[in-house]
Amino acid sequence: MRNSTTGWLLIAPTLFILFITGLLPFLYVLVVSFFDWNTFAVNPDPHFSGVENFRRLVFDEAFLYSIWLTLKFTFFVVTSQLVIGFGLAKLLSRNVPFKGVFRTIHTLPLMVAPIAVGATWRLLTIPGLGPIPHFLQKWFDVSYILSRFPDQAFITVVLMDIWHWTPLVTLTLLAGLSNLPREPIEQARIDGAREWQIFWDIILPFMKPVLLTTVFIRLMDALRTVDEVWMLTGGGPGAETRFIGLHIWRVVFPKTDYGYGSAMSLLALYMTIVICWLLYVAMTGMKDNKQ
Amino acid sequence: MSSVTLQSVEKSFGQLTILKAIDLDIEDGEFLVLLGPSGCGKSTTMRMIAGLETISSGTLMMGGKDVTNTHPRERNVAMVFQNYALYPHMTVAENIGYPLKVAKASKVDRVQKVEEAAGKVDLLPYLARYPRDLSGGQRQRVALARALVRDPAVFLLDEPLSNLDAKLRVAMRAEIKHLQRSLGVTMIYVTHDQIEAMTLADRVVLLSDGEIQQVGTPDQIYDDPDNLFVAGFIGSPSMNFVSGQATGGTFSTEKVTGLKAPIDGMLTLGFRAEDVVLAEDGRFRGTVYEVEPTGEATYVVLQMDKDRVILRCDKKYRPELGVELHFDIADSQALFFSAETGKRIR
Repeated sequence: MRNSTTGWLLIAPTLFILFITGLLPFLYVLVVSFFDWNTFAVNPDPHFSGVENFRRLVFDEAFLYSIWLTLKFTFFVVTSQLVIGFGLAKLLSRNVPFKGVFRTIHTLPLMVAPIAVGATWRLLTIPGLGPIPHFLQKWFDVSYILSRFPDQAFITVVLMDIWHWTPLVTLTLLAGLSNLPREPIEQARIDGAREWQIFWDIILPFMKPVLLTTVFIRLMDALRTVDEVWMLTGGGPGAETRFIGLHIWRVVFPKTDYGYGSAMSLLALYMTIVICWLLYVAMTGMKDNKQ
Repeated sequence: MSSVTLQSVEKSFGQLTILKAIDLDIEDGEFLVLLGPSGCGKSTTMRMIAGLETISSGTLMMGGKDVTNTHPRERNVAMVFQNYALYPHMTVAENIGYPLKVAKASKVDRVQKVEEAAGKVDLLPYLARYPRDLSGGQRQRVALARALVRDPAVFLLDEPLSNLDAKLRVAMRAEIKHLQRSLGVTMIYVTHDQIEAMTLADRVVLLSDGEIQQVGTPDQIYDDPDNLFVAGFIGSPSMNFVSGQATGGTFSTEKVTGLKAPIDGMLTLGFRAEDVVLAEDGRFRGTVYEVEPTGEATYVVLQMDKDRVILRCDKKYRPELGVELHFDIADSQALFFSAETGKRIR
């Protein structure tokens, strides 16, 4: 008994901090989401409104559109980062010249704060100042103005995220690749498998845990992207890059609709959990059923 | 099935030579064992035959065809690795059938051949299991069945028994030998265990420091070693060595008198523990250093000047420590080696 008391005492500070910084705000948001509370309203005091906030959400086109944009964005960035990251990791796991130099340069974006990444890309893309619009105009006669063309804004945001986060995928997959056992791969080679067959049949199954972890990390990050996009496009033009995080921020801060914003946050959290769970089942469940 | 020929095959990494110009003819249907201590180059030799290592110089022929630079896929060899190298995410049936799957065999054909191969190694009840649900011996059989399933020209086995416990090892040893004989396949087998080599091989290739020390049948290697290394490596307990001087055709030391020697000079005499006969008028003598009963025999360790030798005696024999014993060996059992080069002098 004494031992277990000592144990609880030892982890008490951590639990206390977790309670203050994690659980308490969550419970607060949960409570607020059931209140109508807008400091700009005629009645600025919070008053209980039941599930009215959640009912409103289902019919809020702006909110639904931001969810659609977020999902689209997440799909594009996560798949691109996986494909490019795996390719680069495969390349770096071999003995290529200037491997070390390339790896260092490739890893640099990871060390830049998201807000700085956004600022850098903003400078690159400002018409009349940034090199991207300048050269696109000069070489391809393409008029590149983020604040005018929604597709350009969306693609640029996707590219920026790929540039920023692919190194993370490369590094984790590289770690996975360098831990691959040698014998099964050699065995497959002797068994007559071609390189692509070895990749599909042997390497990918061995890499599944690492891939799964990487996808989860990137998926959750991508679903709550705010700062980079806020810096680069501010969610525009119009609401064409206003992802869920940005949308919630607009509702909660400039519009001070706290109750409604809280409800949105909870739904976004729920959505993230469901997507991760579905993905997990899709990637592991089929094999488990077979057993 | 096919023969394998190595013509001055060499392996080096930069300046470092791992394997020095090996010449070897392996006949069709032969069971050849590559034997040697760790780092002698036996696994490298096998990996070069499999195509997993490039050959630095020389020629490798299989069934009369030059395959020196051929991809493993086109060599039609099957290999069993020390840790079996099973695919953990595939069932036993999928593991065994993988070579057929990549060769695009039809599903019906695949099922039939997998069952046939699994039947040869008694694996039929386990086809739906995963490797993690199998014992070491069963995993070993899966690896064997996967090798059997596609009629390879040559079987390569890299220390396939060393991860099994002692009892299972003996059982699997017999099974592998029986399998090889009944199928009549060419098998190349790497091991560091001389008992395995002696019991399995048609011929043994003894390697050390990247060089072939001797090639021969197990009997030849045991009874007629070419040099001190072979004599000392093969046999348990290993061969006894006594150094001395031969003059006028007679080898003698403080403790050995009047043994016929082929040449004069500094020589090392070698004889085996089981060839010794205790005799009052024996030409050898030494004092009892230790007595080691093993149940089936008693090994007596004798101190002969600087050398220490082991005699295999009757299982009930228990001499007292420090007593002087006399013993003898037949002249034909006394092997002489040059003290300088270690080469056998016949």
